[in-house]
Amino acid sequence: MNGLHDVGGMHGFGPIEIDPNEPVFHAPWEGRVFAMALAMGGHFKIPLDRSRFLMESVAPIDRVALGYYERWMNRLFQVSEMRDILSKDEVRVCKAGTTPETGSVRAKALTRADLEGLFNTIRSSSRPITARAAFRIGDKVRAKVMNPTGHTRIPRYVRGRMGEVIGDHGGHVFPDTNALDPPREDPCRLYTVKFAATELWGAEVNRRDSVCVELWERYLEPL
Amino acid sequence: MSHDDHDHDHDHDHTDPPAETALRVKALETLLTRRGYVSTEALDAVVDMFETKVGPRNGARVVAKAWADPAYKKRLLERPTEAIAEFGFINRQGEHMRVVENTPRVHNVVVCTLCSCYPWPVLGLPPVWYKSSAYRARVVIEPRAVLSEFGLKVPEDVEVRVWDSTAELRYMVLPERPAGTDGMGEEQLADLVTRDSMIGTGGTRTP
Repeated sequence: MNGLHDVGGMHGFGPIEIDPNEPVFHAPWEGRVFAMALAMGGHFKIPLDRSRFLMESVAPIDRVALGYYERWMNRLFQVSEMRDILSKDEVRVCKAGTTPETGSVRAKALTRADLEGLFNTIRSSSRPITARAAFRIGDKVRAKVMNPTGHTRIPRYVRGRMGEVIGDHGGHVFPDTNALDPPREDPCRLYTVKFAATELWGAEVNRRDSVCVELWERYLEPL
Repeated sequence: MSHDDHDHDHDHDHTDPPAETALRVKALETLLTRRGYVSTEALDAVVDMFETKVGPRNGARVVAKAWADPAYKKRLLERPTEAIAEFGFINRQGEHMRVVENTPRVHNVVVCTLCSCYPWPVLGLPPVWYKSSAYRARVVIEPRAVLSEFGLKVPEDVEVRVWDSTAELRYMVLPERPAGTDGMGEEQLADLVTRDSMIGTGGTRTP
């Protein structure tokens, strides 16, 4: 979707605010949100791509108003409700800042070892595919002009632009279909495509500079 | 939702949220704990892991070894996930690592324009600026201006190569070994490696 998350090349955000002495979490609640997101991932069982799409689907006005971990918190409420882990009423009460009366224990709590296990679990997105590569290293390609309304990982700033294939990573889960409900992995070959900065932004920029982007074969067409 | 006390002239990635956010999070944690989905002890362990164990010191050790050991450097560039796993740094968000090397001709810098993808096992969680719209929007279109805000001037005749992490590959920059470090051991070398030098927005320390 052409959402506010896809910011590459936008103007107007001002200087970068750098805090050299930044803590990992700025307040205890940020750490709790992060840890709960990691833990609940073990109960939610939704693909990362679906989770990203939920985040992207937040209305632009809300996205701008909320901080990073506030968005994570909202997604925790949203998916907990989607997955019948919390009822609509319980979410409403929690959001009001009070803890609802609870019923029976429903799940086996994740232990410290389980959680470390979750972090240590490798979730590779590589998948074997039999289809032959449509492009080889060195090929010139064009990123398709496309405007899917669902989840996609082709940034707007490369669409319609010409680049060169510099890497072939074999088959990877295709985000556009893996974000659907139910998800479909539908693996597809993934490439690194190098775009000259001048191709993306015009003649004003340094002609030596470049931007390299990972793009799936379905996002590309031959020149 | 009362954000009235906030000045909304820019986006809020570094928000200072109202107290009710902390209350909401507390309520959620209490409920999920009572229901048995999470335990306080386990959540404490995750927070502790990311505050004290997983961070840029991991990446610095990898870089220092690459500087000190040419055979390791070769493995790191050719099979980065496996080479990084030699340190035991192999977990979530480091499944498909790529290491890009700075040279006298090329300066690399890493971003995720679509969200905030970052190589957790070697760098920990990203700083606020890395997740900010300002950095994500600008570094692809005006990388040199962005780098100069970090105090890094890249000569005009050096290519600035920006890596946008749009898939599940995660990038780490291998900075150039600073001059005057001959004979230094890996521990000493690791002290010269900054987090930003492994993202590409900063230099290494000088000995």
